[in-house]
Amino acid sequence: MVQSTGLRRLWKFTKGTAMFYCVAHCFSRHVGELVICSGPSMHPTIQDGDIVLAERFSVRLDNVQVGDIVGCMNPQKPKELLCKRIIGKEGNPVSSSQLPSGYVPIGHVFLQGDNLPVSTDSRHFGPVPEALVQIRLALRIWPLDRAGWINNRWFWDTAKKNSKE
Amino acid sequence: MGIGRLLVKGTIGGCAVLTFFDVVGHPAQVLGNSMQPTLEGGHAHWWKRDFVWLSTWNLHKCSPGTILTFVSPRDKNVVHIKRVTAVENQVVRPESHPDWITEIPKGHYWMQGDNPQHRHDSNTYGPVSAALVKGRATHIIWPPNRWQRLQK
Repeated sequence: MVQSTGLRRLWKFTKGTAMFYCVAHCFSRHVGELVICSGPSMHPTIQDGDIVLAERFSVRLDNVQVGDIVGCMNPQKPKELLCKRIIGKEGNPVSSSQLPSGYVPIGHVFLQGDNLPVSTDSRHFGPVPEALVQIRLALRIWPLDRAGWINNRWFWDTAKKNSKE
Repeated sequence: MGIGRLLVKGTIGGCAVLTFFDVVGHPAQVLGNSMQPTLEGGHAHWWKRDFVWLSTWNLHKCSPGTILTFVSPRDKNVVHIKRVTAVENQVVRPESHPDWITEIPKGHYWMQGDNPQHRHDSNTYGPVSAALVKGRATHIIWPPNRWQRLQK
């Protein structure tokens, strides 16, 4: 009798954990997630150890614009998320040694960190495919004294009214 | 009361299915004949084209010969299925321009279709980043007479 209640508890616990994991996974895949930024490449906009809320809707709706700060998979290390600013989308002129034509190629974006001397970005590995852009950083929630919108455009706004740069 | 419970259960069930698809693997249909004769995807009727099982485990560091699906580097709404023919640090000569000797960058694959007549692959758009890879084809699951393991 004792054993069967123990087993039932274990089963309940496993089921609850699995359900929680599934819901959390779907939420982070389709809605948004918390990003803990590390590294100096976006200093001073985003500093080492900042916690930022990021959303996936604008990427899903194809509404990522030049000037947005996005999380992007590192094309050279497939599990690493980079945090950079979009400098140019396809067809925009960008001058860089990586772009012999002077324009960003079809289906690609050009990324750059705000801290030019130390950032490793499109100036080193070239423009990245748009499909690698995963999330748009929207709201800094930690540290509290610098908390606030990183980008005050909503994901459905197509007009650019970004002031906090 | 009943409808609310049903909604919650449905949501959690949907999340469970999506998570399984993301973490373990999912079926997908082959479209186009770039992987003939290994995969048949050129037929007009969907039930005569192959379905493959795409595993989402161990996508990185694949060896040459593996069949992978990946998002096209030129269009994020298109998914391609091709075979890895060379991996990082190897040197390849694109078929269209044999003198453009390319060293494959770190974390990239050279992806080619099996059908030399009809393909749109790394010979056109260059090495593909491993971060674009979405799945690894392990089995043909439909039609039943073609059921087989795909690699190694």
